[in-house]
Amino acid sequence: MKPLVRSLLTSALILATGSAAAQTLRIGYADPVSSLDPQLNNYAGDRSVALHAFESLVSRRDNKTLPGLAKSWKVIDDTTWEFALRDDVKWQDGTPLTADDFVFSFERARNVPGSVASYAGSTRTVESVKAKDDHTLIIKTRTPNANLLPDVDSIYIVSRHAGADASSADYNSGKAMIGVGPYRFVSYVPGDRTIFERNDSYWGAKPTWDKVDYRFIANAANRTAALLAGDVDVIDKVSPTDVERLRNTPGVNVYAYQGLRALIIQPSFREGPNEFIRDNAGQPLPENPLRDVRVRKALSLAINRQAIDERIMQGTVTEANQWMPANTFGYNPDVKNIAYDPKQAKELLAQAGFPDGFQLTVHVPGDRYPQAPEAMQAVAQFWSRIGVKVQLEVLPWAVYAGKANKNELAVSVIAWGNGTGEAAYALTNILTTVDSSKGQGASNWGRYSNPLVDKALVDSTAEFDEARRRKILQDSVKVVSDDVGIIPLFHYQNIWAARKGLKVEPLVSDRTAATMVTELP
Amino acid sequence: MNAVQKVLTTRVCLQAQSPWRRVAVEFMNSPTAVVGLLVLLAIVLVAVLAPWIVVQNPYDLMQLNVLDARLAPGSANMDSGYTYWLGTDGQGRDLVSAILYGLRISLWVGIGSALIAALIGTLLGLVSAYAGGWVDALLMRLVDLLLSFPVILMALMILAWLGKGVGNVMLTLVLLEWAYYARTARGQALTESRREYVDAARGQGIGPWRIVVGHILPNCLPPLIVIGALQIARAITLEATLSFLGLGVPVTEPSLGLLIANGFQYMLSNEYWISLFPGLALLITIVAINLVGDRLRDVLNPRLQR
Repeated sequence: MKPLVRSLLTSALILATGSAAAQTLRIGYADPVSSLDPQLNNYAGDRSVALHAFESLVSRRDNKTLPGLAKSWKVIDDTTWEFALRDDVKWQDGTPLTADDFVFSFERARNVPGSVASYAGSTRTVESVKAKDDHTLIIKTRTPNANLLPDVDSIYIVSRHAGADASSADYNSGKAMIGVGPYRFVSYVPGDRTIFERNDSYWGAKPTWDKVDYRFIANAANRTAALLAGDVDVIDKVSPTDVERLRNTPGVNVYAYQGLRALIIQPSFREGPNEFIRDNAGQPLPENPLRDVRVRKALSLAINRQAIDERIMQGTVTEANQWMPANTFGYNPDVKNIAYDPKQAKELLAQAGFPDGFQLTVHVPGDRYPQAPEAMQAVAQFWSRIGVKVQLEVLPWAVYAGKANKNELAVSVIAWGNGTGEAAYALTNILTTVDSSKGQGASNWGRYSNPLVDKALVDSTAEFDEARRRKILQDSVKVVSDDVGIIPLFHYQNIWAARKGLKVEPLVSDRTAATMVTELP
Repeated sequence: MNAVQKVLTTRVCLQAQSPWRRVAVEFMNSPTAVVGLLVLLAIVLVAVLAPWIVVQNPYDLMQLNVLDARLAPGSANMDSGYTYWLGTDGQGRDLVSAILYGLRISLWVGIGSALIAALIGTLLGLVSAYAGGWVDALLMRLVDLLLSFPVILMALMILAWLGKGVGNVMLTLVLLEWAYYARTARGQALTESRREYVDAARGQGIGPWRIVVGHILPNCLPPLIVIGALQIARAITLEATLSFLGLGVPVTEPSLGLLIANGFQYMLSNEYWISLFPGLALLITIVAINLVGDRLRDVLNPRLQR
């Protein structure tokens, strides 16, 4: 009891002194941070924490590209871009920001020692980055890349003078933590918290908070409890099971926004027998039935997506019929919601030669995607009803990812983030034919392959006309949908909760940063 | 009749009966133990008969309906109208059915692993005591090694290596628990093997194997039975813990531990029944087993007898 009493007392104290320290913002966030080095790993947690101290060439809001450290840019020819940089930006130690820092940052981002999830993908088309003068930057690409802006947005800019000899450890210790962002680094305790203070020399609007206490709270129930106890002011990734409770709590505001992340089932297209697909007697089937479009279609039609939304996700997701959510670049409005039709699903299975179904083992990671094991248990129910007897295996991410990557599974599940906010990102990574030399299909776990989809990626990357590029992407959505190359389930909402008086507005996808939180008048 | 005489007569009377009958009589002298035993028997009975008394097979996905998920206790089923007396879990599983099936897993894993561990542990303990020398040293150092590790950590390591499943959980529990039996059996056997009746048996030219199994073992049994009873409770708790941590049974066939874990996330939203009722079932089972085990320890331990 002692610690509980103490924590209650502490929170009461914090509440009591709240007004005096009103300018401190305490955030409880969910994604683990591997390092403060903004270029080490492309992880959600790392990117969120970096958002406080670092910025990039452009900025993105509501899936649109806006000026950032570059005031403006122009395309000189298909492969040459010129960026006019702001000349009033200073590093937090007072040194002026120059084009040379950008040259250094792009060099470093390609190869940071110790990286396990590098930014190489974002620089894959970049051939060279050169400073024309102190405030003009020239980027040349190998091939025409209409998507360069979202790509370069991923690269945080670090300083040459503090970062030239710095390792990732120097960022963690604070030695190299000199950015141009709205908040200045104070201290970092790995696995616990990072403290920032306001950067008074920030070039943009004056940052809202004097001090930011950015705390890692891994467990969703613990985050909710911390908010209710007054230990933190804002929490992110609120568990769907807690949303109702928080909405009904006076003194708490819940902010839910349509997110970009989709939960997607990837059926395996591997030829020949698969140990996870068996006939009703338990013998592996000689041929993979998932290669038959009728079987894939049956599996998709058998799922009652509305029931999953309402009963499992408690209304915190929207049904998906394609990988992008509505009103995004490349979303195809002609592809309609997938009807729940178990009768037609059974007919399709019968036509494909499986009137009595078959046995299928489905794998899902248990520690990665919110509520994915629960959603997949419901999918298993629906599939069982059309005769596909499902065994569901929940694996730790570390084990799952290895197997999924090698296409060892029959059915895998991915929650694809669509981080750039446009359809080509998923095309590149989960839908095009796997080809590591082209940087294609890195997470295409089912090995879906259709030449039309591959062509759509090539065409859309080279197409600088927005309307035409949109059309190419939309057509590829139709192709994948007709093939049932993937079985989309739903799009997650991004949910934050804050104490009354605070407003949370999303910045980029599901990242969480102090810049997103403002005081309500 | 003075007190000493009284004790002596009682002793003589008790010794005239068969020793097991004496144990039974003394056991019944404790009302709490009798209650524990009755509760335990009732639990075993409903668990064994579960498939015939529940309204739904909670492990058959065909019989679940996600539209019935998270219904409060007393709600009616959508399709066939039966009542969910204890509510449903996040997948629409009837909690009464799920708890009874969960008890089956818990008891099966608990009793099964305790029995196998007892068999292996006792045998190795006896071998260790009787053989002595390097065999004894080797076995006992192995036991020391096992007992010095935190149980959960060992279980996590073994399960991470073996993979999930009821069989693997049982195997893990056996691997962890045989050491307790081995240590106890060895100690007891060492004491017994210095007794005259063992010398007498040896003098009659009876082979070592027969002496160990036929003469020493029966006299080592009482403490082993006590350990067995308490280890069953421990095994059930450990299985629940492992399932709670996501390393036990498959998610579509939840045991009590997994049911509790699944309900945990709903606790803050006032859907208390998903965790509470499986938790109570687990609690009652463990308490009943412990009551019985405690009493057995009292009646089987000669040093505690007055």
